[in-house]
Amino acid sequence: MSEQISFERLVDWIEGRLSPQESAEVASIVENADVETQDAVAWLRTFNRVSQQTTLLPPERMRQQLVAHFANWAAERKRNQPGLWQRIQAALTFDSGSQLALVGARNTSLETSQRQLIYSSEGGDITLFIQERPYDTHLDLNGQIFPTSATSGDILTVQLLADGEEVEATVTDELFEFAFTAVPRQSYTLIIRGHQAEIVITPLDLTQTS
Amino acid sequence: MEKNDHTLIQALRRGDSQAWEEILTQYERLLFYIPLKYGLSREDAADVAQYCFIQLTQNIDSLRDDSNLGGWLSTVAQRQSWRVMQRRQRERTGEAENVAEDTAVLGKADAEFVSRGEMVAWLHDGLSHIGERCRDLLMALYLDWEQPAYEQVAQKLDLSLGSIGPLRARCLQRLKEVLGNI
Repeated sequence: MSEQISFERLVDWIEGRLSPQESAEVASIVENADVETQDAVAWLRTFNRVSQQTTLLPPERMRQQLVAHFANWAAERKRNQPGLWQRIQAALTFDSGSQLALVGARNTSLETSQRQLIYSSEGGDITLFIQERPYDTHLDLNGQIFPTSATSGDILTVQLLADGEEVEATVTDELFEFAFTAVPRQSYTLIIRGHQAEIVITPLDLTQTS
Repeated sequence: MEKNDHTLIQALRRGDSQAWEEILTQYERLLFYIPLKYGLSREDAADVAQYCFIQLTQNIDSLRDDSNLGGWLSTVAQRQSWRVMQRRQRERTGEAENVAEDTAVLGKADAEFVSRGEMVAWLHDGLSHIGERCRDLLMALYLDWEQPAYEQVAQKLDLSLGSIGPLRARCLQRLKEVLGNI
């Protein structure tokens, strides 16, 4: 950096904080300054421009709106006490692995195999696809829920538990689909939770794919 | 003392407004930043963040007591950001070139195909490496939606007004060095 001008002075100049006379003096120095100073000027000018187009902190009004939202929600909730929570056990109604076994078919495909399971319950139907992964022994688990009013909502929470402990959790997308990747092969409990009910699939045996 | 997620979830279910304020403080920046990383505008980012917090109230009964609040909120933010990004028609004329050029000047190697979201993420990363005091100061001076005056920044960060100028310069120099190395 040129000895004639400090970095702080350059910042003040670029941000327009100097008097016209001071600004002219700095401009003259910068014109004949060394490479390091020129580089600093370019950096500061670019940062100034980029930062004017960039915001990393949310607006204060967002917080104010959310505080008001919560107050209304809490008051409404107090008036309308939530109903009894339902825990619904889902039943397996289709297993592609069992179907193949019944007809004596074996999966001879050289590609990774996939198994489809369909569960039914009062809270909705769930389709699961269990897919082998090509390069390790884990599995990918993809699913879709067809909810009823008890489990409806914009978002459903889906949890994968092993021995009562949460292994992984996610939320559904707008099609009520969800995915877990690289799931170790073992037995799980899958819980899908909506507004007033949860659907439980247990045991969900992921030790085999066919 | 910061409450853990279990305590916060239970408190929210009871309608505890203090717990709600604590959750907003803990997560509002993260949920605002995630859509920015997707390249969304700040207005869309604010909408996404707001959506996530509202979904939390709608789904509070479906969370287990041991749920990871940060993980749940982040997943919702990512999903919603993706939806908004797909719905929006972004104007690309000249934008990509400017972003790449600016990012190169700021010190990023291989900046040729950097998107706006990637630049924001890179800046955010750089700010996380310059120390909390510098990060808070530069965020307040240059990257705050409200664009506060020096006096407001000094009050908010408990600094003397006269110290802001020199500290600002030191922090910018530090950021310049860090961005050139990440």
